[in-house]
Amino acid sequence: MTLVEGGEARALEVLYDRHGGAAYSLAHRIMGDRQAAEDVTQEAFVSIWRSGGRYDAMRGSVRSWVLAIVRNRGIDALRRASSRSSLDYDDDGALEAQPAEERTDSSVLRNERARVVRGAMAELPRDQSQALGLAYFGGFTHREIADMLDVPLGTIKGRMRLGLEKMRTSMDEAI
Amino acid sequence: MNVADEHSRWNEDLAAFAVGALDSEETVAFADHLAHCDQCRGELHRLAPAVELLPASVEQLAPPPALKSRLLEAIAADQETNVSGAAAAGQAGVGGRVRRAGAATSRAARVPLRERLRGWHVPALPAALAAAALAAAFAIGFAVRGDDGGGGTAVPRTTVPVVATAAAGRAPVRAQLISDAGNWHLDVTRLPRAGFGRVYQAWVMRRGRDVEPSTVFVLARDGSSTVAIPQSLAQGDQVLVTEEPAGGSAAPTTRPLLSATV
Ligand SMILES: [Zn+2]
Repeated sequence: MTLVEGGEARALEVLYDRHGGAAYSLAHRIMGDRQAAEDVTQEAFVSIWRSGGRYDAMRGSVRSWVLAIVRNRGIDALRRASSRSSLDYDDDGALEAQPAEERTDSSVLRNERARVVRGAMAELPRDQSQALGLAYFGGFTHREIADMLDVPLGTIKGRMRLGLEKMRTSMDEAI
Repeated sequence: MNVADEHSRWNEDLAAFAVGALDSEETVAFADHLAHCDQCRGELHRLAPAVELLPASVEQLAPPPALKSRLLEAIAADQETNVSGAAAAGQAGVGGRVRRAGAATSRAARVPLRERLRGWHVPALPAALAAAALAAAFAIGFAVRGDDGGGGTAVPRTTVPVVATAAAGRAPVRAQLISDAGNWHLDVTRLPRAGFGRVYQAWVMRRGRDVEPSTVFVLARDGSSTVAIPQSLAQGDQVLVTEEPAGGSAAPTTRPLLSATV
């Protein structure tokens, strides 16, 4: 029993070593604050540990599975803390640089694929990246986004669709 | 509404669905449409890599080293608590019935991995499916750790009835959603075997949220399965089970067979 448990604690440690950085970065983007990001990241990995994670091996990578758990935990935490107003939410965050001290030397920017990744979102027209960011990182529904930006719901639907289509196209072009 | 109208109405929401921007009613309705619309499924599949770029597009930060230490401590403490909790419950002898129930559950939770995977006829599987089974083995490895040394814990378990929907037909399925010390799992028996190349998948649906994919599972030879639900569940949350293509899906593609509301 002890051996098995020890082995699995190591398995979780390996999982954290591989994906902890991406998890923390996403949590930081969602929570906008280091302490909250640490809490969300820890909660996500503890929940994976406690209940036995199961990811969709055919469809996505372990990383996207971990990140989906982080996103859900983060959005849950935001909603718990909520009575958020639209003014609290910094929708430009995706495109902003973080303080230099927090950057890693092996920043994803260094490899080509990562450049494509960042480029794909950064190159979107602002209204499209804003709509996608508010939904994915802010946890707002399309209706909430339409209300806060005071534009018709159909416009928001269109911006999300165009944004995803453009990112998809630029991925193809990059390859 | 004819099929084409229905498609064009729902197709407008496809991107919002993909980034989790539909409310829970819309998500269910969209998933229902998705179940019988090849075109929407195809588009969703095509856009999936773009959706995965979103979390990858954020500035990459190095987590503070203290976070890893705290995480490992939390896990060690978790193991401690479970072991000493079990010992305490055993000695104090409180709530015999609860304790027995807890012990039964932990036995279920400790079913060896190979038993859980019995439903996979591994040698007959195409390579891709075999790889998925191995990946499942890795993931389930976290689930099958002994959580309390066999003595049960002081936290009573909660049992939520599971309803078989019309889509389950006349299958004499029996199922329960159980919380043991805050960890949820689904006990299923007498579910018909999924079709060839198909699996079952659990989902969590919360008010105001998109449907979250949960555990993909297959049945043992006797038609039973013990399925860990990794998400934390609150009152009013729903757990659904659908049949999906091998490997599971990002969103339900068939009507739910089982449903439980916490
Ligand atoms: Zn459609």
